[in-house]
Amino acid sequence: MSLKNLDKQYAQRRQTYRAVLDNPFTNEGSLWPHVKDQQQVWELIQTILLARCRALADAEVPAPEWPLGITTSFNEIVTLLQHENDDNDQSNRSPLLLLVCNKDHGVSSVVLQQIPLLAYMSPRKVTLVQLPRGALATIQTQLKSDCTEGLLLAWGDELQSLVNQITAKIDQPQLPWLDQVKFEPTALKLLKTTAPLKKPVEKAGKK
Amino acid sequence: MSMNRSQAEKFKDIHLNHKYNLIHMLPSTEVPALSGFYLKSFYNGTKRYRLRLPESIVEPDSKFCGNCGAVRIPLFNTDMSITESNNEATSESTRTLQYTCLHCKNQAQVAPVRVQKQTPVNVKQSVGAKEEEQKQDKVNKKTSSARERAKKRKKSTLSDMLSQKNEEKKSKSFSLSLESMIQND
Repeated sequence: MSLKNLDKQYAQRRQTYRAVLDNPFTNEGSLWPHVKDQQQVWELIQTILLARCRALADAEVPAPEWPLGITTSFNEIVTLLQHENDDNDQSNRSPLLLLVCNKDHGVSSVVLQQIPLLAYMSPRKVTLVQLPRGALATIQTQLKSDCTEGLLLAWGDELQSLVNQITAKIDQPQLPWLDQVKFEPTALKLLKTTAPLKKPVEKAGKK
Repeated sequence: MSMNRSQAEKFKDIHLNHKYNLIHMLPSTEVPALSGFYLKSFYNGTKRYRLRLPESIVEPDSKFCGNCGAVRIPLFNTDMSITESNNEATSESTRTLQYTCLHCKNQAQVAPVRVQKQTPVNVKQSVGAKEEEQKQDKVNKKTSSARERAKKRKKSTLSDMLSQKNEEKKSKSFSLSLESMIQND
């Protein structure tokens, strides 16, 4: 194989990326929403979210009593995003923040491949944030847990302002091909009617 | 009738985009049974133009179901979860991402990661396509030393392959010429 041949292959390859991935319908080129001010967003997350978790962990507050919820387990994240109304959990109404270390070494891109679609398809409002390189190590030390999949889901009412600030800096994901398959609840309405309180007496009399 | 180069490229782009979009359109048309057919058609198209697609698309079982060809959409036609299976012989467990296609009920395991029980931080990473290789490796030799791996890496560099090929050519031509001389004699 000559160098010229290799060059040809490379050129063809780049062409494909453009044609197939930068297609406005599937829009795979921008599957991960673009973060405008990466450094500032990451600092916000560190100071507001991670430092607070660290403080709570250091004070040895048991996990169920935490004012905010946090999980790094893949399966738990999937189930949380799946259900619109799970019980009367407080996680139900509060905003969801899904942090992904998709640029870090040791995080499998295959595992994370469906995450943007999952966030997009979720019936709840999820803010998906991709973190800069090296974020995984920081999360691991602050939370004292091995965050194997590079995912972190946080929720809680006190995160509202953080989520608002971050959302302003993130492009809204645009995946037109998913809009048609997204679940939309049927608009059911109740009709107000009246029903008699007493049962008809005649039947009992006949017997 | 023939197209000039730019026209041909434009046609190629439109052609492929159309096929690719069709695959993504299918889940909403409620005829998911056709997805295998359209996927095959798209792959044939890329083969005709000799294009190499990015790994995220071509990787078996990851973007499309390996059985029915439906494009995976979580919460719509795919369930996903991380499962862990124990291997008692090596005291390791393997974490894999399991996709379940809700259309054909096919289960696929991708991205296996070996986790050692003593040190959960030490994680060896590998990606779907290497899955089978790994399995074979496990059977053949349970641990490959760092030196061996380094050797392998050295051998597989491009320049080495080139030089190897050149050498082969030389030896071939040499032997051929010898033979021909003998024959001539």
